[in-house]
Amino acid sequence: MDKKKLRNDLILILSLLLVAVIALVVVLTTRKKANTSATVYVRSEVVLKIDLNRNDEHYYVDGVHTKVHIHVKDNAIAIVESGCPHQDCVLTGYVKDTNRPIICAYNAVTIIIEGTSEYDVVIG
Amino acid sequence: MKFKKALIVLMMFPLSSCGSNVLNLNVHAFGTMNSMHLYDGSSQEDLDALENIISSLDQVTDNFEARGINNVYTINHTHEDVKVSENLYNLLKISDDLTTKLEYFNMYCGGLANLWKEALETSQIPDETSINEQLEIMKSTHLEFKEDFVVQRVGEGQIDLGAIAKGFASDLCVNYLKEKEIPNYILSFGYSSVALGDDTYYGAPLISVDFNKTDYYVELEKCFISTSGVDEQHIKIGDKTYSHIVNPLTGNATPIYDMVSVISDCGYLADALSTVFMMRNLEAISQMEQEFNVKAIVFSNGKVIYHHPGIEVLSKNK
Repeated sequence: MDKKKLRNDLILILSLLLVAVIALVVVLTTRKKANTSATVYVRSEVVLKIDLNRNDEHYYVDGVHTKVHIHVKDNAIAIVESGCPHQDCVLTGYVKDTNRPIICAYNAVTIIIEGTSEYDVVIG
Repeated sequence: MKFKKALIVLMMFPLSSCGSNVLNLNVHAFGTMNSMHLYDGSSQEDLDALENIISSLDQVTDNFEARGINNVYTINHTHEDVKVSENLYNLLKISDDLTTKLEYFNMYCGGLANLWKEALETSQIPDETSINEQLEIMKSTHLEFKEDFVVQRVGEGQIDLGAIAKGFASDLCVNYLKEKEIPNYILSFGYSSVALGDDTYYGAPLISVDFNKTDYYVELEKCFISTSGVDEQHIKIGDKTYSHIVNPLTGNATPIYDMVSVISDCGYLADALSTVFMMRNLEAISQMEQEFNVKAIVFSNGKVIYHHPGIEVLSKNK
């Protein structure tokens, strides 16, 4: 009877451990893959969600003052044309990192790449 | 039997910790995107509260548009008494105090800032006469602070709170989170003023802060970090770089460094000093670090040329 009890206890412990391991594997593998999509905002409004896996795709967004031309290439995204005076957004170039938003302040257009990054936050 | 029950209960903990709660908010304010991240223990109600704080402050600090309420634009276009919100009143008092205390900070620099903004757009440096005119206007302007959140502008200077508004917003938001006992957060205001809570849901002891377009990062917690830099909004004429950071003593827009970051336990102070330090030499920066109990990191040509000894600046190239 004791042996049977011990066996049952061991089965219970191993079953619980197995469930914990399976749960961990599921969480790790289904966690969103890094940097496969980008969200485009005009002011605070989401106007576009872009799949970064779709290579050589062009998108046009109406900014506050002018149209903004967005391009996806090699899983990276860039503002390639904008009517803003400083062109800082265009000069940012192609970005893959979730911590590197692309901002056209003149047109209030922001592109944020969704996913994970090596660092928690970017500044500057 | 008791052991088995205890074991089953204990096993639930690792299972339940596989996921963590993170709430994100992106809100456009102060002419840029502001990203809020709240970890474990927060709710949508908290995000909504932060959005209200940020949007409200954005409206009252706007110096370009009236927006249907008494704000900085209103004050700049009258010499009558103007009743403002408590937050704006407090921010104006703080700014006025800093204008007195800090030689290189002046809240009445709006006219001078506009002069250089046009210069950046047309690539033409403003003439000395126009600059001197604005400097005289700034010197002869002040605010009268009256009861019941009423202010009155004396003089023709234009108030511009661009060098402090985001830092002040970060203070208000952190105060709210402290009241609600939410310790884990990252609040990024235009990626130039950032408030850091205890840590992130990854459970790492510190929060890593990446300095954009440099090879450096730092690991911090429970503080504010603000950055001023010339990377955006600048033009090169000849061998000089002119930026949006204007010296209120000389009227020129040629900061000494590429970027300065200031770490403080006060958001508006970090914001204001990050701009001021762009115009001060390293000896002055070191003295002011002690005076205001802040820590600075100074960048030039992409390299760290100075950092407070209490801050470890790490290289991304490991």
